[in-house]
Amino acid sequence: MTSGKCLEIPTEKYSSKFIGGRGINAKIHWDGVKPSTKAFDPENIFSLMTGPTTGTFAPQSGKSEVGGKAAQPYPFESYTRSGLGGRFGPYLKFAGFDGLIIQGKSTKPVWINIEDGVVEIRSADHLWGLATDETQKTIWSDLGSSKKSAILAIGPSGERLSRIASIIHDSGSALGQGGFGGVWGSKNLKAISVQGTGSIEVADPEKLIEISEFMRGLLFRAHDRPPKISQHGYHRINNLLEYRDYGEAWADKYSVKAEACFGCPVGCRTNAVVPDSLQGGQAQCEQLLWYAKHDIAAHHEMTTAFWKAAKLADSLAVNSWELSVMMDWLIDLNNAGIITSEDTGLPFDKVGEYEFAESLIRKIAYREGFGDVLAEGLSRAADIVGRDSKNYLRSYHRGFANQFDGRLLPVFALKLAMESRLPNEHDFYFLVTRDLVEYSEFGWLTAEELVSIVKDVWGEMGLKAIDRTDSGMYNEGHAYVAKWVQDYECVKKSMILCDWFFGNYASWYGEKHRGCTPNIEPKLFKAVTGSDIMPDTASLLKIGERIFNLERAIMTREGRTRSYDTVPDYYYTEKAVGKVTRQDGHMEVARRTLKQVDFEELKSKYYTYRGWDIATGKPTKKKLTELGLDDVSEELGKELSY
Amino acid sequence: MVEAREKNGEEDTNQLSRRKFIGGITAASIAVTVFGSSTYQLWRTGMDFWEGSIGKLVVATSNGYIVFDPALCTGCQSCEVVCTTSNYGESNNSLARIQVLRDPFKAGIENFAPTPCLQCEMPHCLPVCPVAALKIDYASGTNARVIDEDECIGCKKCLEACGAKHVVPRIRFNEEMNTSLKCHLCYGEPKCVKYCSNGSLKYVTEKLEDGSIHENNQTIFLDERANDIPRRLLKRV
Repeated sequence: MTSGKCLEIPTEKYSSKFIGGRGINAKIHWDGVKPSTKAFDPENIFSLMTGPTTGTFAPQSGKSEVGGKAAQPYPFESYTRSGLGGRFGPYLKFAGFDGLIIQGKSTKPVWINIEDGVVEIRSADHLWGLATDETQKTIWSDLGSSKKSAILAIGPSGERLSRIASIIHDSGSALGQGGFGGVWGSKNLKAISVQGTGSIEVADPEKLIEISEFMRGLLFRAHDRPPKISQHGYHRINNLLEYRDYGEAWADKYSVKAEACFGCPVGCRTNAVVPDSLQGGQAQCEQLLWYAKHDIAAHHEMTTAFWKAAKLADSLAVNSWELSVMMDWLIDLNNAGIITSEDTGLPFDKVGEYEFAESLIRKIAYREGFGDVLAEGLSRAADIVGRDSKNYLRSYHRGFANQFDGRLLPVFALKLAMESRLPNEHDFYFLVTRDLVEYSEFGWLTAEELVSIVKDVWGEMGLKAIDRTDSGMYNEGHAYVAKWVQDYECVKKSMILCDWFFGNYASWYGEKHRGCTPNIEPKLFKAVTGSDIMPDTASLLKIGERIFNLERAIMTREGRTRSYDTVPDYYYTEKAVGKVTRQDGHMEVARRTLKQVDFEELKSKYYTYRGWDIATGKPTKKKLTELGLDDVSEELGKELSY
Repeated sequence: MVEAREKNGEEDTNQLSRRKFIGGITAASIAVTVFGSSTYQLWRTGMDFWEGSIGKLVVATSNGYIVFDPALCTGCQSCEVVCTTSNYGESNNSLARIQVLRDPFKAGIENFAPTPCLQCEMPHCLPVCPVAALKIDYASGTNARVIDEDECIGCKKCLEACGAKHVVPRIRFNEEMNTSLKCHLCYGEPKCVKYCSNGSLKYVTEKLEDGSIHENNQTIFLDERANDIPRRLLKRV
């Protein structure tokens, strides 16, 4: 149960090739689950892994990663991943373990208690049916200690095998995507509690403190920013200032403090005290805001409605990204006369009030009436509703809500096409949008600095990748950077560093606003593990490439081919409008669709960089062998072209 | 148990004059001598000792102590992690010399509360140690109340005494080594304060007018950043 699984050269079965987190989850799934296994079959494996830096003084060391056959992807269930913050990962390590593998199904509802190396499976008869907050409080009471253990729990949604059920930890950390709450429900697993008095060793503690201090210094610091920002910290800018005066007024009234995951110096969560809300607690980003615009539309201010909606979704464990797109979809369908308040039991005249959100969330969580349809996720719900409802889905693809627009961000379009789910990864996107002075009033990065940074990280390809103009949007730079970022992400999510600030290409505190990615990650890894498997950027990317190819192999084995690597149809027919970067780093307005022919050509460039077969999109034997995945190559067998 | 004695002017004067009269090192040896000869009495009376015998015993004031502002604590536990990493080369919250108490669903700023050692003016831990492992750290210049882990016999009297006074003991116990451990202010540059993510922890070196620090030194530390937090959500000690 030491950190990093290696203080010397690793001999442990997985870590030398797959590091931890996302990498090891993929390997476990490849080895242990047949492609025909369904998400709710007992044979499905739910795998939760920490990384070598989890629980140490590395920055943002609270994260862990989950992998398994997921219920949410559409039209085919597929292997995918979800990320978890909070303190569960570190506390699992204090309990003596680097990860958990759950397979099978219990005949009766159970919860798992893990404490100092001892794993107990206990009856959850008294927990089944409880909301996630009630479940955790009951377990804390059962365990009788004043020290609150770290707990993951499902709510009624997971118990009823919703495909959009999340798993909640503390007051709002979550395994949000994939419907893994339903996977637990199918196993009769209600909760897992972890705590312990064990140690997490690191190879070079002094070096780690030095490197961590350097890295933390490049992340957000409240202390030395203008007072408006420093008072409430990053969480306020991130979560509430998006809504300008509305958000500020709300924050003044209700926001109490910033809240952070284990080991994170930033604190991106907003902790608020709202009268007649379920409890105190935190929320951030889409989890916090999915109902905000409706609240504003109804009241011309942000009221307690959106907060209470957010906390109810956490309490009953319904995926808030799904709810976000669902709101727009339901309203559009209602306006088009395809669904009514009578059909659905949803009070459409009360959109923006807590009443509507409460009705919606409860229906989904308890699979009541129309909620039974929505609990299948939007794509399947659209199939059930029929009547052209599918064509009203926007910002949604293959079962997942989308965060960015691939028509304006070709790198995102490629990643969305290629991956198992919404690639909810901010680093590159923030670099070419939010950080830029020309993009928003909160930007601080100049065009010149952007150019300098991308050249430093990706050379000439970087300059091409920031060219998102009509003439540049299909150049090979986007394919190159998409692959690079994907490989980096695989290692980042195996170590594990948090997506909010890593890859740290740019930093407000850096010289010429340059951040520390990708130079620092190998140094951090070495200080924590003492291992020599990742001495530089090249080796980091190689390991990442291995992990990404293993995930692709899993999907290839499931039947995935190039024809599945798509973007939403409306990308080709409806224009998007927005600012895009040019090769000189400045921005201009674009108004366009994607052109299918050109995008398919870009995909071909991507497959070439990947070393995959261009016709089928499958990893080649040559590539897999090069990455040390000979056994994978063998199993995929004759299907692979050379 | 015995409540903290309120200082009054008269007793302060006595303290002060004695402190001026006796030098630092000498005070320590006097303290140790007193403990040695009345060990059994100490076990029995614990903090009652202060009531009955004050004026005979002097312990140098700590030159610094750590305070926290719950309004700024994000619950990140960086303080705990850096404490054990720098003291032991490992991360282990059970051995952290500052603990963050947490109640994830508690409404209000006290959902997370770091509990540093208060470096009490009159430490409750120090007099109850039967082997005088609890000492004043003169060498580093902090005068912190510290445990010599080589001498500690693991009886936990100090831990219990602290807990009796301060509810959550600021002393931890190392099961593996069978010794108690506590904050030593990192010999003058407390790392928890240095790496506190949001400025909740502060290292205070100011003393009261008479050169002592107040028993209840965990005043809420407000700086200009916190001024805009609505007053009704802050509690002043």
